[in-house]
Amino acid sequence: MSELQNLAEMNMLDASKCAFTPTEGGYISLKYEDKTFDRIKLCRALPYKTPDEYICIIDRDGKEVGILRDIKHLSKADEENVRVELTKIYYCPSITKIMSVKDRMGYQYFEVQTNGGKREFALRDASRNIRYVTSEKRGAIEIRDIDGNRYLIEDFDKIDVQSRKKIEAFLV
Amino acid sequence: MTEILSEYLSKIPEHVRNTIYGAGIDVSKIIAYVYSDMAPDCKFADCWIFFDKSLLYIMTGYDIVEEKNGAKKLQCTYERKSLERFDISTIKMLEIERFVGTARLMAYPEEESKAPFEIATFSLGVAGKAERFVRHFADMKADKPFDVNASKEEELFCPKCGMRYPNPSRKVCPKCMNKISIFGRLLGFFKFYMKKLIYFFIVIILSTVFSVLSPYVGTKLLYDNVLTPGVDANLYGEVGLVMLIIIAARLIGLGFTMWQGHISGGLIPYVVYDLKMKIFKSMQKLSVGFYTNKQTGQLMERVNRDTTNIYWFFVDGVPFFIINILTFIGVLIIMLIMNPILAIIVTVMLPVLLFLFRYIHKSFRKMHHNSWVNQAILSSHISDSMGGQRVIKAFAKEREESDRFAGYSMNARNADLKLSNTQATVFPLLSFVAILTNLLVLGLGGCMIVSGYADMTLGKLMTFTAYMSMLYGPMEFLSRFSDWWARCIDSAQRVFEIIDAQPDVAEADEPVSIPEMKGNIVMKNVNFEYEPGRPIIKNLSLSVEEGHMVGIVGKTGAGKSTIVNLMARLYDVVEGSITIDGVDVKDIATKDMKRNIGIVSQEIYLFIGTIADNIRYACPEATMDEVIAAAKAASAHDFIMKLPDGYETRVGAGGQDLSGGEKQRISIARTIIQNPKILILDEATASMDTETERRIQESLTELKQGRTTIAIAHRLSTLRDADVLAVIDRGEMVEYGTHDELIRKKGEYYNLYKLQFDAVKHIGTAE
Repeated sequence: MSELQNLAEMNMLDASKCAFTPTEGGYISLKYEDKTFDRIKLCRALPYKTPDEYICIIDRDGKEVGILRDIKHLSKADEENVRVELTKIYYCPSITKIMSVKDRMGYQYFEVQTNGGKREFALRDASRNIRYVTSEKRGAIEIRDIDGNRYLIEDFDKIDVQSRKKIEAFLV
Repeated sequence: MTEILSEYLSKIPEHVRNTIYGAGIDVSKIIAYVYSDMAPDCKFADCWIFFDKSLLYIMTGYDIVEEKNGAKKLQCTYERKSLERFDISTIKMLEIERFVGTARLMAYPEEESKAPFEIATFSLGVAGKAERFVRHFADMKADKPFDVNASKEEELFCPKCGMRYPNPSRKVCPKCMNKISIFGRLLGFFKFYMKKLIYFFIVIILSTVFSVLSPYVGTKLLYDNVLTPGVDANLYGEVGLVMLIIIAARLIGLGFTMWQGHISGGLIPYVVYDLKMKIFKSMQKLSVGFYTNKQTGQLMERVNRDTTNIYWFFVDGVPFFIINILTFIGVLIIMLIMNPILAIIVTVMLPVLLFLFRYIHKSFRKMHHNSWVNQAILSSHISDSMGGQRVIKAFAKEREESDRFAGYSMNARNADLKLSNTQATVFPLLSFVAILTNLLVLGLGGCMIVSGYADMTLGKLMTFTAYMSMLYGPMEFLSRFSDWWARCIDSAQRVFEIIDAQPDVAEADEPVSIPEMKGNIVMKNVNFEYEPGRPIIKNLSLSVEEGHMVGIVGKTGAGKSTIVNLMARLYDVVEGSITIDGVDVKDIATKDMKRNIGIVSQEIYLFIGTIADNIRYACPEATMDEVIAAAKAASAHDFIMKLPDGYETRVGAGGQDLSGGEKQRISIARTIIQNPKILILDEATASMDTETERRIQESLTELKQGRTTIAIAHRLSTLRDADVLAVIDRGEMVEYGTHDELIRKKGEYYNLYKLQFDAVKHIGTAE
């Protein structure tokens, strides 16, 4: 594997040299060694499986600054700053209760309670848009509506029976 | 203009407008607004962002719905949390930044040194509207008038009931859809076959009446007139006679059923044929945009299945519905006449059974769906691994693939197991309920016979139970019928949608006829986008003189093909204009556009038929001499003559396999024979080797004489004859001039040219 890494510049960042600071206007900046990158973008390489690992850092012009292997290697304050930014970018409300699911003309109308408040949305092709987040970990379920908004059921086994019954048939 | 603005403003809900007034802002002065469903902390909220001439406002708060006058009336108020104001003169521009799960509105300050700042957050569904808001803002900053078209935003919610459209481009509200009228329209297709239809109904009614009456004749006769002790008769002869009567009755019933099947079989296919013809004809008049839109693509794929759904509904559903309803009513009436008390008991039990049937049917549908999904996954896995056999073998992954297959297969097995286990339990239980009802009737009827109540006889009781069993069939059918009906209406809805669809690129009411175009094309400030907010062509102006050749150069995805598609009016421009010989293309008669513009594109399509038919497609009256001349001009003649069937070789699906280059030469011949005044070559020779390309180039040189030619090419050598070149980058024209001018300019074209030239040189030295 190490030989493979020599083939291409991996550009892994040294977590101890990173300093992330939120900037005015709702952005985040990175100071790495002696360089400062303003208004950087953070991207998860594996958003479902390991959301805290392999974070790509992209500068204002869309060029990769480097990859952060694990945000837990950062200092506590930096880790928190990165987490806040990631949560914002990958915002996905958690469904706590499914009030109703209505099937109309092959579209499903959902009425749910989320941690961000009550929400109504519609989706098409339910068996494709309601799915287990990863094939290894059965439990977390993602629902994607017609606009592309995502909703998460953190643990299918812990949600109430009535809610579970409403979407059981769509899950494969 | 002001009317449109006030209509636009009236879409702000009353209670929100009141709040805005309450804050001392004049709503009528608002230029543009957008609703956002999130507060900056990503909690769902109801926020309004709007601006007038001097200030940009961000109002955060919540809609509060309260009950008024009991639960019947709802009253909505707006609870304002905050109202921020920004001086517009300090903001240079607004921009939407899309994240994975949300989007936000950023403001860029006039002062360069200051960083942009976030002013609102919203869910992805709102992002499209916010893009329009941003454009309004930019227009206002540039002192442009309020864009009328941009304010006509797409309706996302049903105006009647407020339910969200499942698909905004379809605008069909499942709640408000008039199911009866759709059915009525479907019935409209039967009007040409009225005679047959009446005939059909008479047969159905006759056959039902007959089947309802037959137990009365058969069973009652047998028990009361023959098998009752004390009736004096020749028993054997009587039994035989009754048997014969029963057989005759059944035979006549059977005859009716066959007759009815024959009539419906001869009627429905005609109706479905009419329907399919109508769909196909409607599809032909739609514009290219319809076919490239993904959702409608799916719609099309379903058309066949939809007509099949409708077919079965009429062949099976409707006759059975009539038969079952008639049987149901008929049987109930006979039961009431025979014995009102027993009939009432049965009537009380009916809703219970109906409910049971419906419930069971519903839960089975879920299980069937589950089993179907698992089967679908399994078969897609099979086709996946069949297609990937080379890779699987190359990486020696046969074992892993088998394991993976075992996993999917097990899921499918478990789903089927669950289904069959439930079936094995539920159906016997259900028939037990039916048996219980039967027993109840038998017990009570028995008591009545013993006590001699209401003239009850054994024959009557047996006939009664025979009638009871006739009820279960219709009941089971009726419990399923609503689904059947819903499916048929849904299918019909989709079919009518295609029939009713209006082409986006419609011919003008009074089209200008230009039978013979000269070929002066002028594009002026053209803007175009396939989806709102994602402009493909930006403010492009380009003019092509009659008889000249323009080469369009640029990277993949720069918008080159879009430009020629707009010239040929396969799409309409969003802003700006395109004229041919001074007339806007929107006003030119479609048939003249088609006759005068010939397109050879990178997508080659040959229809099923002979090569000669394909070349003749644009003008079927062309003589064989012309066909051969066109084929020669397109360098197709030589290879065609090498085929055993020559010009009569069958091509298209299932026909002779031709290479990409060969097909392209046929399609060039097809355009040559059309003799268009404007020739569009969209990467026409991209799939050919250099030798063939050169030959086609030579023949095209002939063809180009006296025609306006627009050629798109990757290989710059293809464009060496062009009079002028236009270099396109990201929808904009970055350079324009002759080859020599552009080389001297040392810009984008020079770089492209150098890159290709160097590559060729490099190969030369390597050899």
